[in-house]
Amino acid sequence: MRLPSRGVLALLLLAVPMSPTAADDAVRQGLAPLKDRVVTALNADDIETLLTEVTPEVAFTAMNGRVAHGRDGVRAYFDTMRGSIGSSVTEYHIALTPDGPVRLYGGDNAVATGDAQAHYKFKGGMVLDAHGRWTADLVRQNDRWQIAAVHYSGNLFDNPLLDAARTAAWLAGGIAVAVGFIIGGRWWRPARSAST
Amino acid sequence: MTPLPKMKPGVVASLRSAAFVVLLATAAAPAIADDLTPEQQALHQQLRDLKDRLAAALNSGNIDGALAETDPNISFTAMNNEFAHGRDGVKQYFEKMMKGDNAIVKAMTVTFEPDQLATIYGDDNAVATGSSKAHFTLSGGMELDLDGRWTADLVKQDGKWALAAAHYSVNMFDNPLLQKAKSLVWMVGAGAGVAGLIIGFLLGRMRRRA
Repeated sequence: MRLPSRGVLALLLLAVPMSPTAADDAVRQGLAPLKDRVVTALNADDIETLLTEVTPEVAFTAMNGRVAHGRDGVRAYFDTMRGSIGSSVTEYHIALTPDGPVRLYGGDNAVATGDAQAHYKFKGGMVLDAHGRWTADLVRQNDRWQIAAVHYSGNLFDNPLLDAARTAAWLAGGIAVAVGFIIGGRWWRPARSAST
Repeated sequence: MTPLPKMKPGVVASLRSAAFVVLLATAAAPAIADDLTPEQQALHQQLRDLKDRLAAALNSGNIDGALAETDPNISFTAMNNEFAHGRDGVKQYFEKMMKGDNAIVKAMTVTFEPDQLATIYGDDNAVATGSSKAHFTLSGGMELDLDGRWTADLVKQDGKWALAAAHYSVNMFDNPLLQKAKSLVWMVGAGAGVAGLIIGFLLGRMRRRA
């Protein structure tokens, strides 16, 4: 019996549909560059490029509880942030680490979650490293994946602001004890005699 | 008033057509709540019903009832940034927080208010965002009211909407815990100042006697 040629074998292989896992893996591999482009745009403060990666109706919720709807809303949010703290930030960098494989729903919807590590350096040298969590909802439209929603948050119960307040409480307590001690001690200081 | 210039019949007809087109375009403007088709209204009602069932289940402490509204593969991020994956993961999180000897939360009530109509992608995916008011009674007796924000990703599978992802958070820069911590700075400062004064006063007095 004559065996089919290599070309026929290749065609037969191509005709076999990919398993769901293989298809999902292919989608996930296609999604990875999107995250990289978003991180690059964020670190370069290139909001216009960032906005090309989101749907026109995108919903973005930030760590400060503010929500922006649509590309214009997101642009306005970043403009506001630049105006309020941008002038005092001299260095900014963010890294996003996904939890694991993106979770796929049908062929056009995906959910990704992960950690974020943001580094801020302010004028005067103060450094703030904030850990965050993010959830991204991704949709495929016209064969292109885009971000439909992002929610970014900090830990309410354990964050640099609470740490700073606790440190301030210790400092305030220490200073207050020292000042109180000095004032209280002087109160009873023996009066010097006139002859000395 | 200056009379309008007389126009040719053809121009008048064109203007009428243009006005008609403008009217049609206005009628076909992006749908807002009252302009939805019956199918769209039904879809958004399904999403609202899901939100209401979820809130009712959470407020009655019925975690299994809440989980029935989620996708088996759900992703959930809580306000302490703890992440739970899958129904089992979410159940463990809630049981850890609300049940057993080491529970942190004794009771909880929560309301969810959407910002606007959910954004629908295709016919099987929806994104909703909103605000939330939550009241917690902690195990130590402390009462805590928190204004939160949430994002929900909903998917339709086998004709039923389910929650695929939920992320819940509180403003990290302005919240009751931070306000309490700031108050603590003043309280500790004042308390330590008074304590320092008393100790200094007593030590000074002892020195004088000696």
